[in-house]
Parts: sequence; C-alpha cells; structure tokens
Amino acid sequence: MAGRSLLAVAASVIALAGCHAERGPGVIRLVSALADPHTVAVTVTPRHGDAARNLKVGPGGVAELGALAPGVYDIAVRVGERPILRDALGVGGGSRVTAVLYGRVPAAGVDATEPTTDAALIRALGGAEARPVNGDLPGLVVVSDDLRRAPDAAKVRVIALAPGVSPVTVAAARDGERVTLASGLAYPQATEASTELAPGEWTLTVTLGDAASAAAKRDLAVARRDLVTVLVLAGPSPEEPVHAYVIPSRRPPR
Amino acid sequence: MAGTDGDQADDGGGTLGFGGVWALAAGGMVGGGIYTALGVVVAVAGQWTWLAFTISGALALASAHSYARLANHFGRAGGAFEFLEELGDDGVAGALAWILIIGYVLTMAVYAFAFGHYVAYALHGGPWVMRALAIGAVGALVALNFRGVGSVALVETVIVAGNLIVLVGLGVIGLTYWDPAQLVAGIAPREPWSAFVGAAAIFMAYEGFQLITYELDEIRSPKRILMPALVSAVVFVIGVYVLVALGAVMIAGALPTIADAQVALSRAADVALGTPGLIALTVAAAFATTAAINSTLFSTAKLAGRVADAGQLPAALGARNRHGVPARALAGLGGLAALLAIVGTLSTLVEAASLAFVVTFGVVNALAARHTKGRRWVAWLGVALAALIALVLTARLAVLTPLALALLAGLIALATVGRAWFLRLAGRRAPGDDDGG
Repeated sequence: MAGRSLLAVAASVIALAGCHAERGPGVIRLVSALADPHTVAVTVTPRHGDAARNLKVGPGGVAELGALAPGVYDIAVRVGERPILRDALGVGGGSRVTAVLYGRVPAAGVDATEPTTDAALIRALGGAEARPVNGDLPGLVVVSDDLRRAPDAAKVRVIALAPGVSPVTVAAARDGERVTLASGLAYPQATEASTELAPGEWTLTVTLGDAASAAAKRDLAVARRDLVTVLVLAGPSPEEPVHAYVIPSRRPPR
Repeated sequence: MAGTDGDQADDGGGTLGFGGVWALAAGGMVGGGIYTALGVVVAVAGQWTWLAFTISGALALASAHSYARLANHFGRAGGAFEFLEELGDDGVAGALAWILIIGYVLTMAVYAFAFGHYVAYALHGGPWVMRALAIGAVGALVALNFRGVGSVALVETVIVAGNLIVLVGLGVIGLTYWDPAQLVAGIAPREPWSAFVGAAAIFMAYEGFQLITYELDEIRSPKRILMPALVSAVVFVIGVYVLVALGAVMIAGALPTIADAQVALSRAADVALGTPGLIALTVAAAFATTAAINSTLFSTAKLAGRVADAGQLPAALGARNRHGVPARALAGLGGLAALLAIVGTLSTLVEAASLAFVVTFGVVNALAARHTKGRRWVAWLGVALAALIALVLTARLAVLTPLALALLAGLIALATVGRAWFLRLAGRRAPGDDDGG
C-alpha cells in the first residue's frame, strides 16, 4: 500500500516535471585574456549547419556571442591571418557560460593549434577539468555562469592565467577581515566557485609564491547573489608581473 | 578446506531471502557512489558517461558472478580474504585483505565527503559546515557500531527503496527533457574511447555489492539465492546509473555538473523541481550515504577483526568489546575515513578507492576462473576488464595526480611486501610469510 502510494507520488512528480518550459538558446560571452596585446578574430561555426559567426575582440575585451542554438560549435581564433587556437564547445539550451582565451601568442613558425604531447596526454586522461600548461600556447577555459548563488553573499572563483607565473595566492581584505580566495593556484587552473564574500567593498591582493608583499592590488565591489570571476593575468612589465582582472557577475540563473 | 561446486548444504540457516539480499547488494552500490561519481565521470567522458557506467558495470557484473560462485563454492562468509584463506594462500589473503581495507576506508571517506557536501549545500553551509557534518556522521556511526547495532537489514532495505525511487525519478524526469546537447554543454565533446577512462575513474560506484558476501551466514539458501540476486542487482544498478547519467546531465548540463561535482545530483534536482526537489534529493543522499558508511564500517570492522584473528593485523585490532565489536579497528577505520574526507579531493578519493577495488576484483575473478567450474569465460572477462581498467586508471593517476598514486602504491607495497615486516614489528608472525614475503 505504502509502496503504491510512493510510486503514485513519484509518477505525479515526474508527470509535472515533464511539463517544463523550452529552455531557449544558449549564451556565450568571450573574454580575451591573452598575455600579448593582440586583437583576435574569432569564428564560431555550428556543426549543425547554421551560418558561422565572426567577431573581433581587443586585448582585455569582453564580447557577447549572443544567442546560440543548442549544439556543438567549432571555435577558431586568429591573430591577423594566423590561426592560434582551434577548439570545440557544446552549447546547451538556456545555458550561460564565459569562455576565457588565455596564453601567449607563439613566435612565427610555431603551430599553436596542435597541443604538445604532455598537453594531449593530460587532456586525453583528464577530460574537461584538466587544463594543461601546453607550453603557454593559447587555450580556452570555459566556466559556467549558471551555478547556484549564495542568498546573502557573493561567490568568487579565481583562475590563474598569467603564463609562467605560479603559484598565486589571492585574498580579499577589508577592515581587518581577510578571506583567502585562492591559495597556491597553478597556471592555468581555477578554483571552485565556493568561497563567499559578504556584500560591499573589498581590496583584492595577489601574491606570488612565498612573497610577503602583494604583487598586485585592486578594488572589488560585490553584491549578494553575485558570481564573480577573478583572473590573474600577466602584468605589463617585470615590475608588475601580474594584475587582477574581474569578470563581472551575470544575473542569477533562472 | 576448499569445497567443490555442489558439496555445500544449500540451507545457510539465515533469514535473508532473495529480496533482502538483492536490496542489500543494490543498496551497497547506489548508497553513495553515484552521488559523487557523476561529476567526475562527466568531466572525463562527456557525452559517453552512460557508456563509462556500462563498461565499469560489465566488470562489476563479471565480479558479482565470480563472488557468488566462490562464496557458494567455499560456503563461508568473508569475501576475498576467506576465499584465499580457504585455498591456503595466507600470504596473498593477508595482502589482499589490507588492500581491501584501504579501499573500504577510501570508500567511506567518499561517502562521508558526499554526506557533508550534500547536506551543507542544502543548508548553504560553507567548507567548515561540510567538514563538521562529515566528521559528525562518521563519529555517530562509529558510536552506534560500538554498541553492536551494526547493520539492520530492514532499515537498509527501506533506505534503499527510497533512494532508488528518488534516483530513478530524477533520471526519468531528465529523460522527459531529452536534450542531448546538454550532455556536452560548456565542454568540448569527447571521443568514444574516453568512456574507458571514465569507467576506470568511477569503478568504486559498483563495489558495494560484495559486502553481502560477508553476511553469507545470514542468507537463506545462499546457493539458490546469491547468484541471481547479485547478478540481477548489478544489472539493475547499471540501468539506474545509465538512467541518472543521461537524465541528471540533461537537466543540469555538463559544465554545471562538473563544476558542482560534489553535489551534482542536488544541482539537477534543484533545476528540475526547485526547492522540493532539492530537499527530496538531499534527504535521499543523506540517508543513502549514511547507510553506506554504516554498512561499510560494520563489514570492514568485522573483516579487520577476522584478519587480526588470522594473525594478519596487529592483535589489538582484533580485540572485541563487550558487544563483540572489534572496537579499536572500528575507531581506527572511522577516524581514518573522516580524516580523508576532510583533507582529500573528490576525484582523488574516488579514483584511489576505484583502483583498490579493481585490483581486488581482478584477483577474485582470477580465483573464480581457476577454482570454479562452468562459465569460466565470465571470470576471465572480468580479469581482462580489471587489468585494462587498472592500467588506464594507473596511467590517469600517474599523469594527473602522481602524488596520490605514489601514496597508494606505497600502501599497496606495504600490504604486499612490507606486511610481514610490519606484523613482526607489531609482535605478530604473518601466516604464509615464513620467508618474509
């Protein structure tokens, strides 16, 4: 009797859940975080036959690719006429992701689109989570903007994307309070989006290795339910080896 | 000593019928593995995650067949350790028992990790809440087992039923979305062969069926019941895992499933049904992981007691309290599992546990192939799959987390070549290790 009731409840829940709304297209925003000041041309070609999209992104720029039909897309990135990255990315209906282009544009004559042997092995055995150094060649790190938000705080994740600079430690501080956001993070790895910051103004500090003093500082303002991504990028000079770049939060997921 | 197929009395004198054996075997598998394994395998195998669960399920199926054959052949409770003891291979029995205990500790750590994360996620708790929950769960269950409460078949059967309804419900809801694009949403599509890597990474999701072989004395007519119950439970669980692998990822999408790997199913339930779904899934996960920790702790402490009695562990670990429980072994195993749960990373714990069980199951399949009659090809298939999966998993650990592999290799070396030395140090003389091997 109890078993039948449970099954009936389960069937009703499944029937109700089956009446879900269409999820619509997926949305991708692209951030160019290359260590070299190049404008890149990006071509996104759907495998399901729609027309390709082209866009240009300047150094440190953020571009919205707009609404994309669900499916798999081939992504080609060029500097001028020279291809520097080929990758593929699945787009789910209603999904929102941020794709960050990172690494160094190699010297002429180096095929940047073929992974090194180490990188190929790490990708083969490690899958989507494994981000090989790949000789500092350009790569694409994709993070989800659909993660669950904290009701009373902001969630922060950190990605170390300064080629040749690791490990990095990132902290947020204010009024004697200090929150470690990433500790000893290697290139080109990311933390989980699990660290929470109370709403308000914070100062971000980036330290390298065992150094006592900060290599970079910047202000960070966060609000409740934010999902903020901090990139540690190559700095403009040896005196400023890194800088912190903040990708702002998107609105919370549906 | 070793029996032959057919020379054991069919009536085991226990009370567990087909349903009870089936529920404990299925519950041992789905008790915690799927809650933590899904995100790990999606990262590795992408849209081929369902195939990864099928491949590791094939090894589990062959191993279940071999376990049942060996248990019926020897007619004694105790699993792989007892099988080898029956064959007079005390040295290998001791080594395998150590590896198995390492595997169980890692598995309990994964379950405690899952318990802490799933409950903390529902409560919006941070890392310290998660750690406190993981330690609290293991501590409470150690205390419960100190009093000899141990495994309660009826309670576990009810938990298994509720757990399966929630998991199958989530999977079926996911299939109503039927959205294959979500299987690669936010990631690059993976090649079909990546399913083998995925299968290697999450084999521990299937290990739980063999705990029932420790309870052979409790089974009514084991010769009639054990084989069909184990095999059908594994087939059923393969189906559940494939269903959840497709359904949950079609709800949540591949990238969020990977990003929230610790709570992947909560994430899917939240997207599909909102807060009621999250609550139902959290309750199911909490009960399932608690039951899984409890049954593993109970069986492992009993195993450690038996192994200590056989002179293969320090005598202190075999000392029983007034409830007949090997209390020191229980406390030690629980303490280690809780420690690993709070310091380990998910994929490292899952994969280290998987490797320990792949090695064990490979040995069990080899024993079945050599010492039982009929359908030996099944056992040989298990040996081949275990060898392949162990190879792939070792390569993955070597490339991605060499330190974890080195630690595990060190523990396995201690279990095999260093065990006799360790036991001499502890004042024991290891049976079967007269020449120090």
